Amino acid sequence: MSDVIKVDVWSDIACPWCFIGKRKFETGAEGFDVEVEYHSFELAPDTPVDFEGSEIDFLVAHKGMPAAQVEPMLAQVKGIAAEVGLDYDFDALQHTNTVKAHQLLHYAKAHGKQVELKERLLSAYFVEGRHVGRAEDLADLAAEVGLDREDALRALEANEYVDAVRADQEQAMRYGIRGVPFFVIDGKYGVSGAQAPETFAAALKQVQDERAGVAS
Amino acid sequence: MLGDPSAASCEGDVCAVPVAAQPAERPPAEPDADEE
Repeated sequence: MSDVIKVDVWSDIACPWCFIGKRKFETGAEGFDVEVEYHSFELAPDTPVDFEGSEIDFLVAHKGMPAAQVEPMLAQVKGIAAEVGLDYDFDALQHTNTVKAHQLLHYAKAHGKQVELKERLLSAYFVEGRHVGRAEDLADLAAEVGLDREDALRALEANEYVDAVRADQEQAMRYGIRGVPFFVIDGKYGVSGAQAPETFAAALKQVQDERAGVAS
Repeated sequence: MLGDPSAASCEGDVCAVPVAAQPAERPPAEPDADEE
């Protein structure tokens, strides 16, 4: 039996806890042989591709949250991100719809670059203030991880992978996933949220021990 | 479900503060069980 442990992760790009959770998972997975596959989950599919304004503006205008409440919350998230080495820039962040980004992640998976692209998209969105909703901008990011820019653009404009995005979302519904990040380890253990690295390590160790028990 | 049930996650578009994770105590269904 292979020692590789498959980890399926449902997450969104516009999800601060997904990037933080990604870092915590990576820390917890050190020393384990894991294969990670990312799956699509749109937290706010009604978000416009081009929203003029900051993250604070979005939360205030679209969610009716008072600015006085939003600002300290974002500061809190920024602080937690910093603890795992991520420099979130909510002032530069460009709020957008992420369905195209999810399609690009499926394109990248088909071309062996999904893990690289996932990291690139999250960093582009939360750290660099890049736009991750428009096909042209996404094609630029695809090229930055070694994908063919023009072919990626063609696939995005043709919505070639939208069915794959929907299939992931349907799978999430079957699993009962309502929040992200959500990790499914070895097809049988669910870990919800940006858990501590120790939690991920314990789950991976459990799988490892179970396999050893079966083999002995 | 493994881990701290109050670990931070995003549900809907509420992400700014930690929210309670899923209440389900069971692991997700085996992928094969739901495949057509």
